[in-house]
Formats: sequence, C-alpha cells, structure tokens
Amino acid sequence: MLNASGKLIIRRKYYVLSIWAIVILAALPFFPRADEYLKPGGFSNESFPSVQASKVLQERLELTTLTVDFVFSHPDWSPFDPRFSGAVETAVSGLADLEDISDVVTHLDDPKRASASSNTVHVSAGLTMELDESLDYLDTVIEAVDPGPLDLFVTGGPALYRDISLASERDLRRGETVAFPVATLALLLVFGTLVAAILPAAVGGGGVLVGIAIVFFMSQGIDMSVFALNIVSLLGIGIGIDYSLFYTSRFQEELRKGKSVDDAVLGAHIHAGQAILFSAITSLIGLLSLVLFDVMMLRSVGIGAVAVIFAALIAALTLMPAILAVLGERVNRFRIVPNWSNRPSFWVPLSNWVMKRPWLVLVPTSAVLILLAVPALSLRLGTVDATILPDSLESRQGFDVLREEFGFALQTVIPVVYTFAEKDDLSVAADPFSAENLRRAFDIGREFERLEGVYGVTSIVNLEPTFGTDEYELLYTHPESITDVAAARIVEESVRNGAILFLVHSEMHPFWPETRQLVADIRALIPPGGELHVSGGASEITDIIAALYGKFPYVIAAVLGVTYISLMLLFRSVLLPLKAVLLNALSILASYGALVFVFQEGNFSGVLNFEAMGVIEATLPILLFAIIFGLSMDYEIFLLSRVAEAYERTGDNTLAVAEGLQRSGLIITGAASILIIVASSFVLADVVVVKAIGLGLAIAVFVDVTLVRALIAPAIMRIAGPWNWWIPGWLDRILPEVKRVD
Amino acid sequence: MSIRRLLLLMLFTVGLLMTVTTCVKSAEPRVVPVDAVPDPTVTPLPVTFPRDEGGHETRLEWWYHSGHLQSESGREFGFHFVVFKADDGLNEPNLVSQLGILDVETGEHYEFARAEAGMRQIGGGLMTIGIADWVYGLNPIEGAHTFISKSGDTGLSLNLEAVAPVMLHNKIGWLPTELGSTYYYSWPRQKAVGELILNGETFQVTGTGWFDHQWGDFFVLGKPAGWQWFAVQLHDGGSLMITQARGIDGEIVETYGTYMSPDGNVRDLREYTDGIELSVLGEWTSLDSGATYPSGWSLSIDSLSMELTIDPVAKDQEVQMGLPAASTYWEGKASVSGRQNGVQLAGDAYVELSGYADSEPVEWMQRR
Repeated sequence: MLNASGKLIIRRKYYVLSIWAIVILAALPFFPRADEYLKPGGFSNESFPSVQASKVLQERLELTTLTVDFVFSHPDWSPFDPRFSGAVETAVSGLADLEDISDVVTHLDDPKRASASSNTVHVSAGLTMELDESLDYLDTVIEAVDPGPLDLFVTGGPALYRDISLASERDLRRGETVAFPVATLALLLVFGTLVAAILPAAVGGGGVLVGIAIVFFMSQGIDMSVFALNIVSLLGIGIGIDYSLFYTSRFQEELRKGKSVDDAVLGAHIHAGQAILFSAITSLIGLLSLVLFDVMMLRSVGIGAVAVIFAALIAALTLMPAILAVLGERVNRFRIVPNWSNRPSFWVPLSNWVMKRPWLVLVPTSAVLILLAVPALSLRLGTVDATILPDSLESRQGFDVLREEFGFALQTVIPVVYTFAEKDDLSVAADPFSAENLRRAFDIGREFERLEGVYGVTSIVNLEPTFGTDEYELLYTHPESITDVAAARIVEESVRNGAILFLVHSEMHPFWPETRQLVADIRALIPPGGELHVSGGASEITDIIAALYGKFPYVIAAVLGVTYISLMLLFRSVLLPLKAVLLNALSILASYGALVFVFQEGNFSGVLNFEAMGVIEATLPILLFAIIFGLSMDYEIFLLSRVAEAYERTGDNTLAVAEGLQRSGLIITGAASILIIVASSFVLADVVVVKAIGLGLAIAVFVDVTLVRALIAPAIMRIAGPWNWWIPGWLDRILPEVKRVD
Repeated sequence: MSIRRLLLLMLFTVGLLMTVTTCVKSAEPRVVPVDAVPDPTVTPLPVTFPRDEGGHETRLEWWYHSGHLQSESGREFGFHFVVFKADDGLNEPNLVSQLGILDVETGEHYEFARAEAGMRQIGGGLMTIGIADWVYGLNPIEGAHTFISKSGDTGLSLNLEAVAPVMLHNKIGWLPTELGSTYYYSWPRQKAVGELILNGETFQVTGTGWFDHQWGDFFVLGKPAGWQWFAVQLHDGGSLMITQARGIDGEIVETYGTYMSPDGNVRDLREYTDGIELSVLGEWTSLDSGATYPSGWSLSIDSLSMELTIDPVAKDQEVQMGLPAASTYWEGKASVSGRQNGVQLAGDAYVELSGYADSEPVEWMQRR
C-alpha cells in the first residue's frame, strides 16, 4: 500500500502540493476562529448526581451555589461604619435591576461577612444560570456595581473560571509561540541544514492548521471544551514534527546511500511511512481512549487530538513526500550546523557499551525509574482552586482576601437537600415544621453529625445540641418570631414546603480524598420517607473523579491491550510489545511521581513560583497518560522498526539492537528535545495546572528518551536475545500478515 | 529471568494504578437510624468571679448596662448600653451593640448601634473588645466595666464600678427557660462616671448604673412571647429585679425576681410564694414599629410588704436599631414611688419590654 501510494505521490507531486495548498488556504481562515464554538469548562456532566442535586437546590430552595463575590474595603472606615455600610448599599443597588440575580447578601444581612480583623466586607450575588452562561454575564454584573469610595475586588466562580480560561489560553499560546522557533532551532541542530530544518516545522504546522480547522467544524456539532484546543494544538505540533522529522531523516539517509531522489522518497515513504502509520495508530488508540470518559473536556481532547493526529499523519504521508520529491538534494541546502553524519556518532559507543553490560545497565536504571515513580504511590487526586492563578489577577486577589479574612475555601460545606414532598403540596405532610417532619429531619441531622470528618451541621434541627424534637416543635410554633439571627436566617433560606436543607461542615479541604469519602458516606444514607440530594463543590468533584477514574483502569487495560496487539502484528513478537507497553507505563508513572513530588508536595515551589496544590488536578494523570503514551510509543516504534529492520537483514539480535539504537538515537533525541523544550517553556506559565502539564510532559519524555529508550530498552532486548523475536507458531498463523518492507 | 523481572515490573505498575484508582471506598447504603436523642443537658456550674464576667462559648450572651446620670449642672439623663453576642458554634460570633440615651429635660430619646463579627480583642483587662468603632471592656476588678460609644456628634463613655454586692438570680444565677437555660446575675448598683456628648455638647456625668449579664444555650422568641423586666434602684439603697415572662403563645408563664436589701442581703422572689402582682396601668403605641407597649405599672410584693408605682419618664424609648424587627423592644428610664412597710419609697428604674413588635413575616411562608 505504502509502495503504491509513494509512487503515486512522486508521480503526481505537483497535484498533491496544489491540493495541500488549497486545503491549507481553505483552513487558514478557520484557525483563528477555532474557539468560536468551544464551550467553557467541560469538567462536569448533566447526569452527575451533584449536578442534579444543584438543580434540586435551586428549584426547591431557590438557592444557587453560583455567585459573583465582591470584596469591598476601605483604608479607614470599619465595616459597620455608616459611611462604609451606606457605600456598600449604594454600590450593589444596581444589582437589584438585573433579572438573573437571585439575591444579594451583604454584611448588613449577615454580619459574618464583615471581617473581624480588617475593614473588609464580603458581598455575594447569586446567579440563576449555569456556569457556562455566567462567563458572558459577568461583565453585566460588574458594570452594575459602582464601588464609589470603596476599594473592590471581583471574584467568585464566574470570575475565577473566566480568568483561569484566559490565563490558560495565554500560557498555552505563549507556549505555541515558543514552540515553532525552538523546534526549528532544534531541527537545525539535528539536520544541520536550513531547508531540512524548516521542512518538518512547516509540514507539522500545516497538519496542525488543518487539524484545528477540523476541530472548528466538529465543535459546531459536538460539545467541545475550550480547554482542549491548546492541548490539542501542542500535541499536534509535537507529533507532526516527530513524523516529519523521522520522514526527512530517512530521506536524507536514503540519499546518502546514493539513491535517486524518487527512490529515496519511496524508501523513506515505505520505511518511515510504516513506522509513522503504526505510531499514529498507537497514538490514536491512546487519545481515542479519552472519548470513553463522561467528561466533556477529556472527550474534546480525544476528539481534537484524533483530528490533528490524523491531519499530521496525512500531511506526513502525502505533503512531505511531495515536497521532498520536488526539493530533492536541495533539502541539504544552506548548511548552518556541521554535518553530524560525518562524525563518529555518540550512539555507537553507547549502544556497544549497553550491549556488553546489559544487566549493569538494566538494574540501576530500572531502580532509578522505579524511584522516580514511587512518589506516585501517594498521589492524591483532587481539583484545583483559585490558587492555580497568578496573584496579579483580580479574581485571585479577591479570593486570597476571602480566604485570609473569612476562611473561604479552606473548609468544606456540603449542602444536602432532604426532599419529602412536592413543593406545591400544602398538606401537613409537606410542612417542614410538622412534628413528623421535624422528627425525621432531626434523625438525619444527628446522623450527619456522627459522620467522620464532620464538625457541625447547620439546619433547622441542628441549632442546639441539647434540643430534642419537643424543643424544636416549640421553637417553630411561630417561625417568624425567632429573634436569633442565625436561626431566623436558616428558617428563611433552608426550608420550603417538602424540602429541608442541611449544610454539613467539615474542616477537611473541599478537594481532599477524605472529603470525597464523606460525600460517599452521606450519599449512602437512606432517609425516612424521602430522598437526600448532595450538592456543592465537594460533591461535584466526587462525581468528576468517579467519572474519570471509574473507567480509567479499563481504559488503561484497553489501550495497553490494543497497543500490544498492534505492535505484535507489526513486529511478530510476544515479548517486544510487552516490553514496549510496560516501559511506556513506567515512563508515565515516573512523570506522575514527579508531579506528586513537585506540585502535590510543593518541592521546588519557590523556584517554579507556585503554591503547592496538595492534590493533583484530577484530569492531569489521564491527560498525561493519553499524551505521553502516544509520544513514547512514537519513539518506541521508531527504535524497534530500525532494530527489526536490522534483525531481518542480519539475523543477529545484538547487532540489530546496536544498529537500531545508533540509527534512531539522534532522531528520537532530536524529536524529544523539541518536545522537552516546548513543554518546559510551560513551566514559566502563570497557571499552575499548565505548569504541571508542561513539567509532567517534559519529565516523561526526558525519562523516556534517556533512561528508557537509550538504556533500558536496548538492555532488555540484549538480555532477551532471540526471545525478542519469538512468537508461538499457532499465534503467528492466526495473526493477519502485516508485511514489513525492507 | 528477564521475563520474571518484567513480570515484577508489570505487577508494580498494576499495583500503582490500583492505588491511584481506589482512593474512595464505596460506602454501603444504610438507613438513617430513627429516634435520635439530643445531648444531655449539663448540670449548671456555680457562677464564679471574675471568670464569668467575660465571654462564654454559648449560643447567646449579653452584657447590659442601664442607669441614671446627672451632669455637673444637674441635668438628668438615662442610658442603656448593651452588647449582644450570638454564636452558632460554627462561625465567628456576631456582636451587636446598642446605645440608648434619654435626655430627661427634652424627653428626646436617642439610639445608636454597631455590629461586628468575632470577638475582636483590642486591649487588656478581663476582656476588651471592639464593636466597630465602639469599645467595651471588663476591668480586672469584679463589677467594673468601661464602654466608649460615640456616633457622630453624640456618644457616651462611662466607667462603672460596683458599689453593692452581686445579685445572683434564682439563687444560683441560673434559670431554665422554655427553650434552653441561661446564667443570669446583676451588679445592681454601679457608680458611673464619664462623659456624655449630646448633639455636640459635652457633659461630665455621674450616676448609678445597673448591670446584667446573661449567657447560655437558649433562644429568645419575639411576639407573642416576650417579657416585662424591671430594674429598680430604690433611694433607700434597696435594689429589685422583677421579670414577667410570656410563653410561646403569649401566656404569662412566670413572674419572678430578686431583691437586695440596703444592707446587701439577696432574696429570691416567686410569684406565688412571695405574692408578686404586676398590673399594667397604661399603653403607648410606637409610630415607628406600630407596637403597643404597656406604659406605667403597679407592682406589689406581699413578702416584702412593698407597693410600687412605676412610670416611664418618657413614652418613646423604643429601641430598633441593629436588630431584626422581631427583636424590637422598649428600654426606658422610669421613676418609682410607693411604700414599704408603710414607709414611703422612691427610686429610679429601667424597664425592658420585649415581644410587642410584629415580626417580619417569613417570605416563603407568605407565598405558601
């Protein structure tokens, strides 16, 4: 197939180039519009119990967990100074005219919103809309607030979310801006000539351009998250350059053998093309696995990545041979770096050294790899808060004030709605203050208090520990006559016909695994005569992580299994695919270990300028798994295809391994260096999650090309000897033939 | 050999992934147990000084001062200064402070309020806290208090020092109520010295104060529940506290009091055993809140052979500021005349009338 397609492309090279020119020109206008139909967020899902519970909270109790938060302060006036209070009332008066504001709570309604230690007040405006819609609505809300003589920070869910989106996008765009020039420089070092260096970047870039245009069209029909876009383009650049690099280098190698241009292109197309094809298949397997998750953001990365990898593959297999056929020897024009191929390669002594001492290499390097992976054992999944944002942003500054002055987001409050009748039911069965309902609620409230990690519960029946149902019945004989401000507020906000709200307080951080255990414990309770609906951030995180990690082991198993079979088909071996799959997994685990060591535990936080997260953002391990698995497999296939090629030619395993390493070493290192440099540039990002993606990728790729690909893989193959190429006869017979070409 | 090593690596990998994915144990569904019981009520502790002058970790607490002041020129004023602390046990306590001043000469009543979240300690002594720009302090000496409260061109700063023994109510200073229980004691006579600024005019004032301190896990309900409370300072040196409490449906549930004779002996008073009779002589309706309050009382206590008439010095001494509508109350200076054992008596009083103003309706219940 590759032979025929190669010949066709060489023959019709100008047609192919013309078609690509048209495609790229057609795609160009859509590239900057790629995010037009992408949606913010995408971590949650309508089917999550927490999302359903939030709806119950809004429908039954008219409460929303989505608020815009305002932090007002004044250098001299104390919060209850009439001048301060008056200014706050004036500032937020405009919010009353906005239709989508459910309520505005100031320190005059709830004195706890005035700081005890500074002249600071927290005001919140509840929004009756979904988070996605609120991002656009935020400006309307901000415009309606005139702080007058007060200082103001605007923060809260919509503001933070918008800033996280904007800052992430800025970080990733910055990374992309760095990626192309840095990649070209690295390519220059690999190829030595300007033309050869520009070629992979150009072809890779063309692939990304087309891939992103595909994303633009797909996002009009499928819900896709804006977070996916930049990850997808980064991946496209990395993989596109890999393919083009591998292709170009093989073309140069064929030329050096004295072949004609057309034969050299055909040789590169057959050999490099097959490796690229299989590499793309394994990458697609890894990334397609993301489509299996019930989380839109991951699905979007999966769909988007498939689009760009597919575009990169087609570009490498059609555009690249056409360009090379036209360029011919001119690919080696404008030499800037001396010719590496004329010098003694570093890879020859290295491969010889590894071949002589395989055990001496394998044992310590494996130990180092395992050591790197060990911190991953203490991996704590969670989600992130505003501390991932730089403190130069207003929403982060406001969040910090709320955290310092009011303990915001340091503790967990889990809203649980107990529904026991329809909201329009006016019978006694729906009366929250009836003796029967108070008794049931009292039992539930006491049970919540007993759960591990709970330090208090707020509800109409958790006001006073020594009160039983008799006292509560008495208290609610005339609910309007309660003078206790906190209790009166609970009566006003936490009960309606057929529904009672409990706020379960825990000192645990909302994003800790222990908090998710508490959510699970609450959800396990079966209340008398009704239902419990567990809402709030901790509950949503529980659902997100369950959606992600409930399937993750199966996804891992499926990806590893399919990859194993693909490699077995390609290399007709039982052991080599197993080695490949396991070593890839180890590279990934090493990157997890590094993430935990740095971002969870906070090591190097000073140097890298971030605040330790205490947890690893839940989507990160999965994203890294999908991306790194694809990339590592690229390198593995590039290496193994050269080894297999040499083995088929010589029949000598040791020689084949050494030759494979020598021939692929520079290319793999060059490709990996590009990715490491680009990924490392993300460490300078403002958003901590982007830093983490960058560092995780950089470490995984570095480990992969140094320890794994250069040392462990050749050592294992040397030790395994002929077992590398062993396949049971019955298996060989039933496996479909994938003809390896020489 | 190499295969065994690879198998080991594979096991390690699988183990690691299992660890990652099993962070949260799935909880078995279980039915909420029925008939939960509340925490047992604790036996009251003896009231101890100076410890109990300060703040307590209870749902409700208040430090309450009232009294009668004279300027150097003999101009008379009444005052009422209170710090309320409400603590739900989960958040910083809420503090609300109110100041009421009656200018006897003009009959004008002034009221101001401040609020604060948290007990912001700003000085020494047993407790010195800030409530916005006001300061309230408990001095290390028993029964000695200070407050500084200024709002615009009006304010009152007083040092108060007990000149009579402490009065523990209900014998031990602890009272059960319909909804919880409260510790309660008074310093019925405090020497007051300070400065009053009224509409920008400054007066150096002296006089006599009454101090109440209550704390406990209890709830105060508004109309129809409530109370009438009297703090009487007789000119013969005797002091009398009488409370008439109404229950949840407005019915009188208890009338009780404490009497301290001029020589400092304290006596607990009960409605039936001591023959307490309290009658309302008139009414006054507030134009602000619409509440109708009793206005003028006759009080007789058989066991003390005492008959008193209590008249408000001014009708309008209603306090609304800083609290919800359900907590609006009347707190006013009154004059006292009467007889005890046939001997004429006179004195001053402060009267508190709570639970007469209508509450704000609960909005969602209105819609029902």
